[in-house]
Amino acid sequence: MSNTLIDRRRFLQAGLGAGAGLALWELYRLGMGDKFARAGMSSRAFKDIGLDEDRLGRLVALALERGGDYADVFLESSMSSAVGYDGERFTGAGMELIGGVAIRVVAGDNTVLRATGDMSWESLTKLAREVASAARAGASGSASVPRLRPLASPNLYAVSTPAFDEPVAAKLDYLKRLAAAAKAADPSVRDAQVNYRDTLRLLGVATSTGVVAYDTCPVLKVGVAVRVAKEGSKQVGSASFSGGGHYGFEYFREHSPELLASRAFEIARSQLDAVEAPSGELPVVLGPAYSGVLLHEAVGHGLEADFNVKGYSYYSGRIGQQVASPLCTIYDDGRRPSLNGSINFDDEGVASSSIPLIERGRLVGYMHSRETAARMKANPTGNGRRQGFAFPPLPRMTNTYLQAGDSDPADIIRSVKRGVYARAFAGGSVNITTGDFTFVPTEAYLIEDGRMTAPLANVLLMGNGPDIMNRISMVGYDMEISDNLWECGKNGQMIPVTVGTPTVRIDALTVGGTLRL
Amino acid sequence: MQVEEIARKAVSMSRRRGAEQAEALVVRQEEKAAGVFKGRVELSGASDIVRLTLRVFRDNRGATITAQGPTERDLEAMIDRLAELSRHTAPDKHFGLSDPQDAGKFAGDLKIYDPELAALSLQRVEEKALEAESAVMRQDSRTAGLVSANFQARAQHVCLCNSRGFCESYRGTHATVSTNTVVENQVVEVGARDGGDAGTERVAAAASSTARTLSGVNSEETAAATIKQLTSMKGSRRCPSGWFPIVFAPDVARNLAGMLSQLCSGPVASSGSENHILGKPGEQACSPLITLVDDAIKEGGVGTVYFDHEGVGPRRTVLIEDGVLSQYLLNSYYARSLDRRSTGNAMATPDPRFGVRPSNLYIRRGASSPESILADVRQGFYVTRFMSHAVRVVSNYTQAVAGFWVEGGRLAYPVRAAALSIPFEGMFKNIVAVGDDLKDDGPVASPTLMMSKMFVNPLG
Repeated sequence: MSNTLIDRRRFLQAGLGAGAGLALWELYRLGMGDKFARAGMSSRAFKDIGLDEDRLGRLVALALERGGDYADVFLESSMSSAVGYDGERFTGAGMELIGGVAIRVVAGDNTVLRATGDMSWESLTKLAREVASAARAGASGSASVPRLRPLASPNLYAVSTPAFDEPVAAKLDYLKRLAAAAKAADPSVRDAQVNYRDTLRLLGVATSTGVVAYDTCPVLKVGVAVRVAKEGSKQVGSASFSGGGHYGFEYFREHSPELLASRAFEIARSQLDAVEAPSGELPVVLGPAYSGVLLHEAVGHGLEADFNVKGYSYYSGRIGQQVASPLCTIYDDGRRPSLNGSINFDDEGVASSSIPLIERGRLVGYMHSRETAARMKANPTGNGRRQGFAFPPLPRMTNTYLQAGDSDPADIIRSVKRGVYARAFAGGSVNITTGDFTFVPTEAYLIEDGRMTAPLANVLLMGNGPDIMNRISMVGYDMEISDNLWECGKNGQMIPVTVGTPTVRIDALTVGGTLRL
Repeated sequence: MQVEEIARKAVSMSRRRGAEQAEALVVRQEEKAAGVFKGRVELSGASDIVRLTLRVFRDNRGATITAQGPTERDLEAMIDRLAELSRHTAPDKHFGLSDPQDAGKFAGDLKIYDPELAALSLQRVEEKALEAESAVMRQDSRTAGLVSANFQARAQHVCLCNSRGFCESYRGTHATVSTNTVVENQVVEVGARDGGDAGTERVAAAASSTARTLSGVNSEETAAATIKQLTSMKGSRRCPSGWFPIVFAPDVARNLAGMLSQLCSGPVASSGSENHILGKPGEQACSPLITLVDDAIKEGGVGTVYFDHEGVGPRRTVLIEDGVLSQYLLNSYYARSLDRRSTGNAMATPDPRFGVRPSNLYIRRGASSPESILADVRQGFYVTRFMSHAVRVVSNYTQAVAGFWVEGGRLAYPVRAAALSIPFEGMFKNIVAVGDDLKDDGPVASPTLMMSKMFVNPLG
């Protein structure tokens, strides 16, 4: 792959004549080769297809021409390349290019959204007028559009070496080394598969509050899946790990193949010697980092404001109330550099923030989009996120974690006479209304007399989110953000998130699913 | 540009730029959707997106491009870029277009396009959502104020062209209605935890329905399905723990049908992994009571197609007959790798091998009424809802469920949450009864199923 930059003039001729995709394509090459240009790459890309700030302001004004409280225009153009490696050969080379625009008007409780993949000016003015016609503005106000001003936001994606422009051979070499490292981890490893994907998202938002914000968001994902089996035994294990986040190619320099391979291998290996799990209500110790997914599901979703606007959540109407053990302080923090869930600003042009949700057990806030904030007379928190341009923004988590406590993690394990230590999870689900959740650990151990002993098979943890939050009796000082890539699904939209937690003791949780034939 | 023009251009451009074979799938999707809450329209949205999936083959290597609204220059740049990436991939003789003898478009009218639905105005979409919301409130006054409903109308224009000269298209429509509600139930005994005040229990319920035509979705029925879930959990209790017979209601048994179809899919069969537990065609794969069919030519079926994502004509495929594996679910790549013919189940994915998916999948109805199946259960669990995704860790299948405890052949009381587990390998051989109550209402359907035993562990 050549790193040669194209001539700027030639690029402009091509870009102006060709539309969004080519502008993205070539601008990426141009911008990433020039640190000075990089900051403005997204705005330049959209300007070069005719969507400058003046025109974005006109679209917002058009959308509001029949009234409304709020309007915005969301622009997206993203490009990905992907390849797989099955341990012996590279497979499945693919590329993806997605571009489109959404225009939205909010009038009272009503939102009208239109999306199109056609980014031409004619198409967009037509779309804005359709939105204006469909909006139930009526008596609900008529926001005027102030002059758009750039949003001040941090740059959490400090990419020094863009993955896209690295020579293909360098990427593939890393993937080979990763598969080899997984296979070399232990004779029990039967096979190791690797997948790789790099994406660049160019985003733009213009709002009737006078904000215009552009972002250039790189995403790197490298996954490894291992399968282990014991000689002469039917017992098998499998696990996968996906590393990455908002990184460039430097991720590979900072994360050795051995490190990534060990993440998946350790989980799979634990399954090989696993014994059947005990059953019943037991103390459960959650290990640091990965266990944050339990917090995400069991508590986090219930604190997203759309569920609370409707009164669907267990946490509805409970601001100020004690909803968890005083040891619990939970934050959603979209501002942590390079993390998968981090965002410079949300998809409604609100700068990301670090917000307390629960402080010393007391419920102090929900995660808001602009829409839920307006309906609940609160401030937007920078959590209005969407999977892509064609989806409406919803209140979503970013990086959600339980703050460190002051217990020694070893003491937490020592405090349990008989219980379960769970470290990694296959996934889970939660009923937002009741708070009931189920989780399946993929790596769990028996605790006997304060010591971790046998790995456990077939454990299912079941409980009630609000309930277990009151049963947390020890919180470790070892808060760790998971280095696995997580994706969160809600209303058919997938978004990247990150979870984190220190070691935590829950005094009683239902451990189930054990069987022995 | 029309979908056919885009597809033809993508194929010819790929050929000009060095591809030996090329295939372009173009789908234009126009969608209108409305969400309502408390009698007001909260969200009304519309989108019009054209998506291209282009597969190119050269030197027995395959590569895929997916793009929304690409220009010609975009495609040129991507094809060239991809060529460089795919040069590093290994040649694989199974790559390539579908076999000419398999290619084709179904000739008759499959009744999957409703002009009225395609032309539905957004205002009518909003009205349909409001109708669904009021149906829930009308059927159960407890739900007043905490109901939301959504209605979605989708029209698709699908076109597939390849470098062998195949170029066909068809149109289809879908309508989906869904309702959600939360109520406070007065209960005698609360399950593991009380979500509200003492003596009450908050219960959430949701249901949805999808059809190819506007008249095919029924708000009243969807509302009734939602309400049924609300009343069913009233007075939930903790059930015993241990090995018991399990009866799956049709709405959850369909998940087991889906799982079975995955197990007999080409990717699993050709992987040689431990997931491939059903054996080879001709071997007993599961209980002799099970016959699993995928019917891609079912008139008006939600999953019905005129051709699959690589232009192979649809058909009705018996995957398991009387418990014996008779056919895998295949696309062209996996058919070649297993020395078989495609079953017309290709699904476009970023991986150039493509995946497979069932179209309209069902377990054939059995001879027993659901009442008689339950009557045979002295003590056991009647599952009405899955509360988690099915999870396999090590060798077991584990599933969190809700439903009823059964005593002496009757539903004794609701159980809000329990875990069910069973060794995965023999799981489908344990099916001992299949109901006669197959509902023909979705892309995946099953009658009531009963397993001889699973391990039950209640919540709380």
